[in-house]
Amino acid sequence: MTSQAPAQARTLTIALAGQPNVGKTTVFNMLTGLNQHVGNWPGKTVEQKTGVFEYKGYTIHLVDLPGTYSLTANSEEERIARDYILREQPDAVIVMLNAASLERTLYLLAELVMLPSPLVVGLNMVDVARQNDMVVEEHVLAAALGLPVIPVVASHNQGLEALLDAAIETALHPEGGQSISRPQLKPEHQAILERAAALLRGRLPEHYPPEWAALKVLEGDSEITALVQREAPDAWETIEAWLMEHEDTYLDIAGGRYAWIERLVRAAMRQPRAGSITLTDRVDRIATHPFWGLVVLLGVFGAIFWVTYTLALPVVNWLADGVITPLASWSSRSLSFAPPWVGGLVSDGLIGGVGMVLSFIPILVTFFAVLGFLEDVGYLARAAYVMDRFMHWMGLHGRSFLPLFLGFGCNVPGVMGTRIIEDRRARLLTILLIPLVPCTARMSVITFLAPAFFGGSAPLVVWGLVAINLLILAVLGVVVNKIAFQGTRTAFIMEIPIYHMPNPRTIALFVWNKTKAFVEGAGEVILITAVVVWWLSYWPDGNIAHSLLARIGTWVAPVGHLLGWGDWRMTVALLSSFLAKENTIATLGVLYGIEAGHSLSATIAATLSRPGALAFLTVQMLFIPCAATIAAIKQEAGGKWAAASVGLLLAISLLAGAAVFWIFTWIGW
Amino acid sequence: MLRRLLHLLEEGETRRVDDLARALDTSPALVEAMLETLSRQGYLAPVGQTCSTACEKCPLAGKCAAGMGGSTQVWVWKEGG
Repeated sequence: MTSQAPAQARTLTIALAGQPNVGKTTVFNMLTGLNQHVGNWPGKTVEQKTGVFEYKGYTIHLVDLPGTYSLTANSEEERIARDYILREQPDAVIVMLNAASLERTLYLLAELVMLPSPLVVGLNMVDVARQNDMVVEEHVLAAALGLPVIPVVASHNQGLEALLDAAIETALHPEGGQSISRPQLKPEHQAILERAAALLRGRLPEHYPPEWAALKVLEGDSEITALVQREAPDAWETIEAWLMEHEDTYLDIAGGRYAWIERLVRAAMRQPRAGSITLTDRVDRIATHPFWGLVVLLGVFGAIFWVTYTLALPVVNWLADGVITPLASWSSRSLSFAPPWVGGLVSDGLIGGVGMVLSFIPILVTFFAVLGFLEDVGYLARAAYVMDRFMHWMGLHGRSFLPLFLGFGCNVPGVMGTRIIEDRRARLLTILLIPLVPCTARMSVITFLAPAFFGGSAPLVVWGLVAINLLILAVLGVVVNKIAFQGTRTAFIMEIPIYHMPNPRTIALFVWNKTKAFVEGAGEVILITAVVVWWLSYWPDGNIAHSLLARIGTWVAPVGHLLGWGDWRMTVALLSSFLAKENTIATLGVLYGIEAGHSLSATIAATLSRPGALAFLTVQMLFIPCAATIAAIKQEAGGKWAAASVGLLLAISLLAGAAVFWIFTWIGW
Repeated sequence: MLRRLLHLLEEGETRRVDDLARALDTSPALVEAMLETLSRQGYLAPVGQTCSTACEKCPLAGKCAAGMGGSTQVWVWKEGG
């Protein structure tokens, strides 16, 4: 389709419309080259781009309209786009669609076909669609739409000349648009639309077609409704009465558009090859099954612990015994010329504390790598889905579940995530539960300590601790659901990706960034804590037995005795986790490093009985949240709730720890 | 179809886009498009936008289970939306 150059040059104004990221601006740049003018739309802050160029004897004014999802007055961009088309009445409007995302991009066209402007469809990204095994048959789409459809690859300047030819042809012969397919309404709403349009005819400014204005009023468009109220108040009274009787007109109008879109897509698009979808479906039949999905999830949890222990623990032990401990001894010897406190600070405070925390980097690296792998493959989304169904089954409300699940990474975003809960009471109760979710830091500490106490049984112990933790969480969650949500249910909709091969570079980058952040964190709060704990354990005379910390420790020791910890240092180590969970390791490193001068694992393992050690890990899992989480709770819920959270967790952790100690002592474990 | 989708959401279950597409006998892409429209109209809310600041501090921000910042888009049904 090529237009003949007219005897006399003619100027045509062509507008480019489309949703964001559909390639509209690429088309504009390709067609106008350097002949662009960039400014703002009159009286607006939105950028306006226009270009003028000569083409086959025509002077083309090309106007790049703002990218919009619809033509309802939801945003300034949408108002600008529709006002331009209505007021300026360009000779043709090119509507850009994305062939790889046809369903999404057709919605705007469903609105544009209701306007009197001559339309041409530019079907962009046909190459991307083809790569995804999707083929849009443009001649079928054109026939179904009643509009010219031109396939283009804007980024490679393919098809743009044909698009321009079609736009010129349409501009010169706009009557060709008589047979355009348009979305339909239900008969009762169609009748209202026609009656409303009749009432508005001749009452609105000339550039507003009455049928379109009536449709927008039925849709609830605020700007057009205000216009009708102002220009035709009597008509508005009648229309308003109809609307009161038909509150669902918006859903009918939008639903009609989607039915129209579906018909077009069914007609014109050849579906993707079944292979990749079938594979995902086949795996998901098990991975997201209500029962087997849970079994798979538990297996994956177990595998994470197993991989972490198998790969990371030998490196951790080597770092602790082969690097950190000898380094501390060497530094102590090397600094023998300096005052004793200097050697103590470096070897016990810095190397014993911070060094010990850094020695569990291999655990974090392995943990992050496994999580990164599961996310990249697409499994973590399924895990969330399976857990959510399980929690629903347990009676936990979906809105509580999602923030709780976020808490596995870090409790702080979990607390922030409760903002999706509208009811304040439900939100506050959910906030109380979040610190019960074992975050990465807690898990790292447990992963580090469990082998010291339990050797080869450590994976089983950690798995059991996580299970008990989640059980307590679920029981309290059910209570919260009954109190706060009265058993109501909320829908979550998850757009789950298909499984794909993991990208090693993505995973490596993720592990690097997260580990780097951890090391930087260790350089701040953990370093300060280690130094403070060391100083408290050194002052006044360098003997830990007479130190200020020993006096504090003796004061809190009775609590430790109830839990089977004969040594006050364990209680102090637990208390130091208030600032950051990793501080437990740093404090143990400082306190036991001072006395023993050899492997931390061996020293603390000899300090506690097995029931006492299990009680220590239990309390560590359930203990009061870290300072950052408490600050987040205070910010989101207020100081009283932050205090309530500390009190609740303190009670739960100590009771659970005592119960574990006495039960396992009683059974003689 | 949009109305049927709303009815499914009102049931209060957690669903995957694929399940909704199957129930409506249509494509997941069309369901996603409808969810976006419903989200713009206030029937649904995309999860995760309100806590982006907190996520920056989270060591698992890009990998958290609900896909905040990850590859999974999650919407929540808004009562009375």
